Amino acid sequence: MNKHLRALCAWSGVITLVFMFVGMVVTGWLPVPGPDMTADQVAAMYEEKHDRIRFFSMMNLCAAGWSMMWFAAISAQLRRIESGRSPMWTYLQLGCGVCSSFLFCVQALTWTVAAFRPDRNPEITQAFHDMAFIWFLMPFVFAMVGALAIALCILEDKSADPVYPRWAGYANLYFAFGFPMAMFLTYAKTGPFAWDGLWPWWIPVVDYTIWSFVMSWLTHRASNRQHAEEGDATAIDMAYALRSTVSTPEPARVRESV
Amino acid sequence: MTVDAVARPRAGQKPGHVPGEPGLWVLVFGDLLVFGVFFVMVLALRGQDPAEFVAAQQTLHVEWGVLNTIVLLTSSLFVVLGVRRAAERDPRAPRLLLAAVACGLIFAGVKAIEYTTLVQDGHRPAGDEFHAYYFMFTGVHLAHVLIGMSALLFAARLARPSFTGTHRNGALEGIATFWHLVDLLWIMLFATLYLMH
Repeated sequence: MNKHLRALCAWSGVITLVFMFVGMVVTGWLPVPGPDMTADQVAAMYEEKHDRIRFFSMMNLCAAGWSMMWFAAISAQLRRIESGRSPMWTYLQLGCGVCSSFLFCVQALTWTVAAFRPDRNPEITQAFHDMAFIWFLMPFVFAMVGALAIALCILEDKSADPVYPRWAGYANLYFAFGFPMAMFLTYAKTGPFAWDGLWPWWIPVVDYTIWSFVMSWLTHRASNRQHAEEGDATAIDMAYALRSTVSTPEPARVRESV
Repeated sequence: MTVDAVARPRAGQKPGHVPGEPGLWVLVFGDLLVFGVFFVMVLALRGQDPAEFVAAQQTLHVEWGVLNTIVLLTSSLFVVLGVRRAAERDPRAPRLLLAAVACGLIFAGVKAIEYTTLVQDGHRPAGDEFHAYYFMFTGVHLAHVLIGMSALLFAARLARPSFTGTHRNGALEGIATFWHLVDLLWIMLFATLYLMH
């Protein structure tokens, strides 16, 4: 894989944020509308911002696609840490990444559903609007478990030249701790616990933003070093190179018949 | 657990010694930052309506809070003694760390009693803002206690005199540091939620 593509994948965490940010600014949803709006107010808002909300929805779909690349780029680096053993943390982080990206898509589609028929009963629009925001903010578990997987993988890296610096392991533990604050939104319609308040919105969103920048930068650095070691080699070239250094004629994956 | 570049096995305390390893302090200060924000928010809540704040505070059971404070401080003492004895290869070290885990269990049990009593009295996380803060942040702290207890169980294994690992002492110090953080956060919570009039 060539160097520029790798860099693009590594920085796609930040590209994800850019798409979401542009969508929010265009829609006028920064800060986001709170959960204390009545059904009629929500319906009026969808009437007024009809096209913008659909644009926001498309921006979020783009963000979901980019985030998938980012999670894959991090997994590829974790896989290097776990080379030669069972890549459990890699799978865990990739699985969480898949779920996060999928949920990104789902909440984006839900905004489209809410905006699709402006002439329907306001309460139905409000239900979809609630659903979109709750799907957007509350499923913190995937980001949290993903960050924990990254943290534990980094802290287990025993090589003399680690893929990620050790402090990044501890930083990921801290990021993982910031995400569950989103859980609070289930209990409130106003104040600091509502979905537009300090704990469910500002803390997890700032946390996610810093996480995206830090992990994009470190993944870019790690993949640069990987490139310096491997060049533009493809996986197949690498496999043959490895095969020639190992004395066993069969691939290691073939199990002996019992 | 640790890497050559960061943690060296240390015989004794030297000037400029960082407990555990430097990276750990990213987590410690980050955690303190979030709880610092919580502290400021509760102060602001009290500023809005001091009388209402104190009335909500009266629903908490200070005696359980005092008991839990003593339990956690005792557990920290066990951890300090355990880590020190582990460094001296004393066979009693794991026992002290397990005693700290037992304190953690008592703490969690007392919290369960407190939560049950409060809910029976009709105070819930979805109620007023004071109780929302109370349930959510003591809950977040309880999660810290459970994580810390798991780490202490791991530390009890490391603390065996027979354990031969290069970074044993660094890892033990790191886990002890985290446990003291949990202790410190509880003291912050206790002072803010139970005592501040």
